[in-house]
Amino acid sequence: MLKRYLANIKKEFILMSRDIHTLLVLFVMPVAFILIMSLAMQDAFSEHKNISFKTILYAQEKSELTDTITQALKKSNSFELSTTQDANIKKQMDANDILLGIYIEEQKDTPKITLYLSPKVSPDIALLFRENIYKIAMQYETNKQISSLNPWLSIEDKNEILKDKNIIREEYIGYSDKKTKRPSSVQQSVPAWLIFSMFFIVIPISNTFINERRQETLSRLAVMNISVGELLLSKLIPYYIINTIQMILMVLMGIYLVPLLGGEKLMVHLQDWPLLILVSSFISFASISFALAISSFVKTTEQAVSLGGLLNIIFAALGGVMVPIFIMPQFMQYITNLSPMAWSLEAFLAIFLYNGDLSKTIMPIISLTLFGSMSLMVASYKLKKEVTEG
Amino acid sequence: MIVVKELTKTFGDKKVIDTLSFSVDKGSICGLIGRNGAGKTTLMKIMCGLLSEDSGYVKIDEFMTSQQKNLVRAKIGYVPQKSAIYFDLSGLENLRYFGAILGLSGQHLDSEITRVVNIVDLDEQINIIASKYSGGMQKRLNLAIGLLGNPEILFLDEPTVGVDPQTKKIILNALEMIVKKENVTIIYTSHYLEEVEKICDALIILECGKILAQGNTSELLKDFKTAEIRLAKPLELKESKWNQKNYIYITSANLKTELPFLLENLKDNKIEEIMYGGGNSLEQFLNILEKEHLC
Repeated sequence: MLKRYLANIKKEFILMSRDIHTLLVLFVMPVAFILIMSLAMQDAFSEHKNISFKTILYAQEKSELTDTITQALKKSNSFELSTTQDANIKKQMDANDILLGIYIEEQKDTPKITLYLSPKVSPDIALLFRENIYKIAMQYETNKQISSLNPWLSIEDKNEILKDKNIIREEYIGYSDKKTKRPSSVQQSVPAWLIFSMFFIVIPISNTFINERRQETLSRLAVMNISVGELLLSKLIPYYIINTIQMILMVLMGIYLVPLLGGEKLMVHLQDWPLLILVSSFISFASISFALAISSFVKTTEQAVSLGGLLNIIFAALGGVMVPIFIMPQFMQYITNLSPMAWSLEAFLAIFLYNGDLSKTIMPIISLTLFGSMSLMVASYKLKKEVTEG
Repeated sequence: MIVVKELTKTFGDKKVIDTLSFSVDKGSICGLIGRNGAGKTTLMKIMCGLLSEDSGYVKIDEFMTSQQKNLVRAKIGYVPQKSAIYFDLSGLENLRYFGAILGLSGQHLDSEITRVVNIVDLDEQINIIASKYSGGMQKRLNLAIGLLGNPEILFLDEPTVGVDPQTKKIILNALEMIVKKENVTIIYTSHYLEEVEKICDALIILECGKILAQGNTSELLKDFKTAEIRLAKPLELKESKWNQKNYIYITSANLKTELPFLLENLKDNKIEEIMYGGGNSLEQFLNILEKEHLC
C-alpha cells in the first residue's frame, strides 16, 4: 500500500515538474504579488509619516500622572492631544474620527490606564502610542518608587514592578474582536497571496485528474484494485506537500527578501512555525478538496481552469486578498465570511498579529475543515459514480 | 474459464445487457463484435468488475466478479479503448508507475517491463515522453501496461481503433503470441471483421444487448466473406443511390441485386476504385444477420 502511495506521489511530482505553467502559477505568481504588493502598499499601510494623530484623554480626577501624560504628549510631535470631561471615550472617538484614546481611572494606590485604539490604527502607530505611554508611566512609577525610599531598585526591577502592577490595559475598539488589529503591508500581502496561490492548486490537479477521467485511466486504476478513497488520498498527499513548500517559501520571503528590497520585515518567531504549518495544512486540505470537486464535475482542463480561476478570484476579492478586510465597510466585512480565503487569511493573521494565539485560529480551522470535507465528499461521490456507472 | 449467466444491466429505462449467457474457454481469444451501443463495453466493464449487474452473474474461474472483485481483478489486465496513459511521462515512467500500482518492484518490475516492451515492440522509444509518441505507439504502450503483471485474462476494448496498419499488425501479432506462449485468455471487442477473423477463436455478436449469433469464428464468417467487393463512391454519382452510402458491398447475399448496378457503372467508366476483401464490412454482416434475428 505504501509503495502505491509513493508511486502516486512520485508520478504527481514528475508531472508537475514538467508543467512550466503550473510552476509559474504556484511559485512565481505569489512571489511577484508579495513583492509588488508589500513594497507598493507600504505607505498606504503606514499613514503616520509627518502626521500627528488625534488623541483624546479622560481622567477621573486630576492627578500627578494625568499631568505627566498630558505634558509629555503635548511635547510630542506625533500626537495631537485633547482632553475631555465625557467618560464615554469610545463614542467620542467614533464621532470625531479620533484614532487613540486614554482613560485614566484613579484607584486607591495605583491609577489604571486604559488605551483605546481605533480599528484604523496600524500596528506601527499602535506601537508608537503604546511605547510613549509606557515610557511616561514608567517614569511616573519610578519616581514614585524612588520617593518611597527604594533607591536600590534597578531599571529592570522597576520595569517589573510596573508590569506586575499592571497599571496599563489595552483595548481595541471596532466592529468585532477578530478583525480589529490591522496588519502591516507585509503581514497582509504574504498570507493573502500565499493563500491565493495555494487555491490555484486547481490547475495541476485538474490537468492530471481530468486527463485520468477522460482517458479511462481511472477505470484502469480501479481494475488494478485502487479504491476511490485511495485515489483521492493519493492526490491529497503530493499536493499537500506542494502547498507546504509554498507556505514555507513565501513566509521566508517575507522575512528575508522583502526587507532586502526596502520593505518591512515579516516578524515570525520560531514558536510560530508549528502553528503556521498547522494552519497551512487545513488551508491545503480545503484548497485541494475544492480543486478535486471542480475537476470531478467539469469535462475539460480548460473548463476547470476557467471555473476554478473565476471562483478563486471571487473568493480572493471577497476574502480580503485583493482588498484588505479592515478597509471594507461593515456589511462587506460580514460577506467576507462566505469566502474560504477569508477564513484562511484570518487564521494566518491570528498568528502574525496575536503572537501565535491558537484560540484565534480555531474557528477558521473548523470552517476550512467543513468546507474541505464537503468538497471531498462531492468529489468522492462523483468519482465513484463515474467509475462504477461509466 | 469465464462463465456469463443470464446477465442483465439496465441504465434508466434502457436494457443495455439483456439476459446474456455464454462461456469462454481458458487460453482462447473471444471476440465481442457489434454496432456502437450494442453493449460490448458495458459487458466488458461488468466482466472486469467495474460495473455491477442488475441480475445474473459473471464467474471467472471460481470467483464471482460482483462479490469477489479484488480476487477477480488480481487475475485480469484491462486495456481501455482510449490510451489510458500519462502523456507527460515517458513510456518507461508509465510502465514503472503502473507496475508499482500492481505491487511490482525491483528486479521483478524491471523484467516485467522488458517482457512487455518486447511484446509490443517499443524498446527503442521507451524513454521518450508519451505525448511525443504517434497514436499507434500510444496504443502499443496502452497494451503493454495491460500486459504488466502477466494477467491470466486480458480484456481489450477496441485496441486498434484509429491506428495505422503497421501498429495493427504489431498489436494482433502480440496478442496471438501471448495466447500461444502464456495461455492467456483474451476478450476482445472490435468493429473490424478482418481482425476478429484473424485472431479470434470464437465470436459473440451483440445487438441491442442481446446475442445475435455466437460460435466458432471461421464457421460464422464462412459464407459471408466469399464475394466481398468494396467500391469507392465516385463524386459525379452524387444523385444516384450511392448518396446513401459511401460504398457498397457485394457479397454472396446481395450479388444478384448489386451486380447489374456495378456492371453498368463499370461500363460508363464511373467507378473510381474497387477493393477486394478488407474494409469495414461489419455493418453489412450485421445487416445480413438481422434478416433472421431482429432485436
